[in-house]
Amino acid sequence: MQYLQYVVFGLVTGTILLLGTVGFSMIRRVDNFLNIAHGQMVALGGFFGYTFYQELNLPFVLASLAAMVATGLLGWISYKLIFSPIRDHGPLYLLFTSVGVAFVIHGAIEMIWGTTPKTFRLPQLFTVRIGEEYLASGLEVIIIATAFAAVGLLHLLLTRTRTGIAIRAMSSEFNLARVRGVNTEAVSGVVWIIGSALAGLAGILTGAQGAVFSDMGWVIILVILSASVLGGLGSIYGVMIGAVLIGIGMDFSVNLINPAYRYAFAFVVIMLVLAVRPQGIFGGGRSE
Amino acid sequence: MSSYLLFAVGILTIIGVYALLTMSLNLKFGITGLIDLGVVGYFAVGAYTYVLLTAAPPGESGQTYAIGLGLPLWVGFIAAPIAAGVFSFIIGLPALRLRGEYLAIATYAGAEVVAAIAANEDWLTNGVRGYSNLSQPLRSVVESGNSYQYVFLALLAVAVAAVYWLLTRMEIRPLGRAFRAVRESEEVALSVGKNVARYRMKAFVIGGMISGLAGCFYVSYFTLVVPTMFAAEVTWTAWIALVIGGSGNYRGVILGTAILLAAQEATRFFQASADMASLLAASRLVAMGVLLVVIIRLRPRGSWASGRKRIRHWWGTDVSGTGRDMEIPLLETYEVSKHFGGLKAVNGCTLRVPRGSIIGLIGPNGAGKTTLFNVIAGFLEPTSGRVALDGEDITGVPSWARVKKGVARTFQTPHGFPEITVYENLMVAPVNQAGEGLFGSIMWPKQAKKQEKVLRARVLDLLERLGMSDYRNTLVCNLAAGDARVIEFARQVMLDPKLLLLDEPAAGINPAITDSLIRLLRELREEGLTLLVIDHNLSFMMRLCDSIYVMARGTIISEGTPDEVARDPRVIEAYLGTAHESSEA
Repeated sequence: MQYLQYVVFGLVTGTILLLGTVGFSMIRRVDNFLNIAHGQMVALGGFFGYTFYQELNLPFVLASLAAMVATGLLGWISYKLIFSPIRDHGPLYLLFTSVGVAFVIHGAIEMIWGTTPKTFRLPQLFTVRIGEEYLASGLEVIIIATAFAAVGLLHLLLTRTRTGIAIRAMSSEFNLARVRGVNTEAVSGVVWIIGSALAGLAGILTGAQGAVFSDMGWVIILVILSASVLGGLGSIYGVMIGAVLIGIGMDFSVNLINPAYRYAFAFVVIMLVLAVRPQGIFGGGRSE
Repeated sequence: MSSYLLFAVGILTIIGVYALLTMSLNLKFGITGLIDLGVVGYFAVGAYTYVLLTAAPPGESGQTYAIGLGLPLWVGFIAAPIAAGVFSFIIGLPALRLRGEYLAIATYAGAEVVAAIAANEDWLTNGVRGYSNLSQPLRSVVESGNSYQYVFLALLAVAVAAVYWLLTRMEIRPLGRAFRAVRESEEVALSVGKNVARYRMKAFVIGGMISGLAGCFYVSYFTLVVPTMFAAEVTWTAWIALVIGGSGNYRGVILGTAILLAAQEATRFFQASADMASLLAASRLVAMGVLLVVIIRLRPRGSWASGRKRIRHWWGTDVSGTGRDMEIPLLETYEVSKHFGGLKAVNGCTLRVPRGSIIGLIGPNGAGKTTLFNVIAGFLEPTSGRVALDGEDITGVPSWARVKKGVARTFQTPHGFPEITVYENLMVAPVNQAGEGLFGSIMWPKQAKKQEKVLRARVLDLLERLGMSDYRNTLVCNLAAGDARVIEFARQVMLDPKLLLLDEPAAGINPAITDSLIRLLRELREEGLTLLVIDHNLSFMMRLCDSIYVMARGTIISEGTPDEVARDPRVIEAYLGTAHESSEA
């Protein structure tokens, strides 16, 4: 029974991670670089959520939506002002620019919210039990459900709408999409808004589970990177599964090793995957 | 000593430590093109090795840590870089097979594992408590604690100067040339016989060792080691300094380090209150980020493109004669096939290239000519069949090793190493250069010097004969396409191969030069070179070749002298037939 609980923990970690990773992966596919600042977007979402929920006392759902709008907007602005103009310089320039942006966001968070962790206090809703055994809290169920709902909506968007189809076209063949009349600039903008908003959601859900830290963005980006490597860089559905697997793996690893190595576990996964199967477990991804 | 002066000495010391890190990064990225985001990992491994070896035994120090061997400090300064080098090697084994962003992720992950171990393995690193009151080198020479800072700074300066000297020495020597070749194009580096994997590993391990050395200085300056000293920020700081200074240029990156660290450290002056301090810490982060974004924006290529730095040479042309090996080779392929899934690109081809001949290989598009070339050069492994050079079976020999055996090839589209000069493109080619080893590149023995001189003469002679002398200092990326093709060809000639495989040498070349190209190829043949040539330009092939093989749909359908082949009805049919098919496609 105890193991089932770890599965629940892992699912929660994994689904939150999934929300962060999906946006990262979409940006990776459409604009073809590793956006290191994406982890900071998650952190930013957490702190916005803290302000909206704990300080302004908005209902949690409204606070989450507001945090998503805020991060989505900031993601779009960062794309327009910073990334889009240097897009032709190539992935390496974009990567290091995103490191710069990550520092700016991290610094801004510390200026505005300081370095002390911000704790969320959510009411206890209900608990899920199997017989007498405690299985999960209501919050955990809601987090998992929210993440799946968000992914479902994203899937509909990608498969049913013109924008979604354009996004997929761009991820597989950027130049072809451009010559076939896809407005790549506008589509990229949409991807940044969606990706950053999902990162914001991941942030506030992380907070809802406990607290947010000013330097959490750096840790998160590492786990996002390992989830993407596991799923196959750039394959959107692959990284979703990768994220959930990493989440469950990290929480299960606590049984075997010192909890402090929870993150190190993710990195060991990276090394193993890269050594054995660099294209990720689900293949796919653009060849370099 | 005034506190301002002391403060300045402190800043200089930190700059010195980071200069080591930035230089190591420059070797890896600026010169060799490896994106390493785990600099802090080797730094930490070096630091902890130093501390574990040199800290006083736990009983004597009154501290609670478990390990302290109490060895002399110099042992630490030697062992730490070695440990960091070994760690680099372990990380590099899986990671260096990958490139670009994968290598970046893997190195980042490696550094994180080190940080996790440092913070959690109390029995080894004493965890978050770390070690304090470490002893410092040459502490006893001066009485006062303050003036010791000068001694320490002097020691560090010596180390920085020594590393700078070694690295810049290496850069202009054949080893540095090979590193840059690997950065510019893995494929071409393989085609000139460079074992790319080994060069990558060399740069990676040497860089790691330098970072390890930096770690020793870092902890012995603070007389303290705790895990928080090894945050990922260290890596980013080194990268930003590299970008500011201009990647690829050692003097530049040291200057970049000085500017960045001085600006960063100077702000610590104003930490009046605790509130102020945390605000400053936050604004330092913002400032660092803005700096990085702005610099990349403003200096899009200047700061990265390194190889653009001109390297000075002595242009002597007084040495002549090359002592060419007169032995004449022979290539044979036996029933070579290469299938891609169901596609039989090459199907049972047998051909013979006699010593000292110019053999042509023609055929319509898609006939499998280039695939056969790739099999001969070792870039593709045949599905079946064998390739023999000089009677020796070389079917399983990797491409770079085939080059050492005397098989060189050119590419259909000129590859070249775009951001190094024409001269260096040619100089990098010859195999087994004495100065390509670590030892040779630093010690620069007489024999390496002599070899360099001979090679220089050959390069200049070759450029002269190609009429390209004026372009020797031009970057290959700035050449016209036809000229780049000529340089591609010349580079492979510099390998001094027995057999040269030319893939469409006349394509894109000004027809006016075609005659001089034919003359040059014939001259080279007189000097002992054997040539196997693919080209679409039939009149060029008819004039050049002694004998021609014709391929169609993966098999050889005709062979003979140019005249015989031109009259062969099967050849005419193959060309016309394919023309018909391609119009359908």
